[in-house]
Amino acid sequence: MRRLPTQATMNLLTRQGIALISLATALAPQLLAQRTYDQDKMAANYADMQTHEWFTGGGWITDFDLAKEQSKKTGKPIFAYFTRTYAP
Amino acid sequence: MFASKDFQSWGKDNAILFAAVMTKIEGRKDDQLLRTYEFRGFPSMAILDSDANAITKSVPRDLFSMQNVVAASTEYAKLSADAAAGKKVDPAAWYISKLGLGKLTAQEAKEQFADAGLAGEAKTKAEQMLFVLEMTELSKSARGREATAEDKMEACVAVYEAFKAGKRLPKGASCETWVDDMLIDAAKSNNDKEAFAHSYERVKTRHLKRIEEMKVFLARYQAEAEDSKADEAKRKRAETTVGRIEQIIDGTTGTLDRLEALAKKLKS
Repeated sequence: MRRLPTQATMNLLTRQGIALISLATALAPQLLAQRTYDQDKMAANYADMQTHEWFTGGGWITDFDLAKEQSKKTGKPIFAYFTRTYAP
Repeated sequence: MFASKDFQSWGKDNAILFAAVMTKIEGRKDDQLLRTYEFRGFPSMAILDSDANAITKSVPRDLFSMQNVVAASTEYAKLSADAAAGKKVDPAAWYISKLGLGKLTAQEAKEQFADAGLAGEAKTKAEQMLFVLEMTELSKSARGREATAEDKMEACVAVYEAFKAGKRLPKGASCETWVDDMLIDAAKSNNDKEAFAHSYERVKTRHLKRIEEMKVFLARYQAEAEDSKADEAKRKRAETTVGRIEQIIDGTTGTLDRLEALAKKLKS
């Protein structure tokens, strides 16, 4: 017959669990920030996106300063579409 | 949406289409704009003025409403600045810009309609925008978690009454799918050939498309199950997914059969 853990064991496991969670929470930002992306792959993804029909057919631009300049010149608002070319 | 010719021809003429792309390319300018505008994820859309201030961060996904938001955005920014400065603003232009930018509920829009002093094409356009807003709000409340069977029935009656009054959604309006489903139900209850005919082809096409899409997924997961015989856990996951997809296909096929039976009944 399977034995249930004692109260002392439960207390130890709980303390250890809390300690692990605290450590993970403290380290998470640093761990995320340290994540590196293969720059060649990132550049290739970005270049590929700019060949897609939705991008070329619509005449989208990716230079924000240019978008603001064209908006001032033409009086048209900026339709900003936020997207990404990397997998998180 | 962005690949459609309708969007592309409209977009080029009416806005500066700017793709704010997060690429993770080190040192690339403007790679973090998502955070600048405090969006939480991708994809997101916003309408900005030429100083990059957000006029709205709530951009609908259907072309009709998107066009209204863009058309209203510049006007709204100008008129709200004038109103804040105590200047007199044209009530019709102010109403249309608020309606276009989604600043009014359907109730508020109905209450303010008469005082807006709209006429001609502007009035017709505003009536259509108001109808889309009403149906959108109705669809959200009828599909909400707390919606009862009675709420859904009342919504169906409201859609049917609007149809009988001659009101029609513009093509591609975001609530079109829901309105079509309501009209099919209403057509069945009221033996109404006209209401049925209005929505039948779109509903049929939607269900057929769903079945075709599910068949593609079915083949993929059946192959995965077959290829995963050595990995018990993976095989079981694939088989569970196959089961779910088969249920979706069966359910949708059943819906189509009932739709065709209703079509035959109403034709006779």
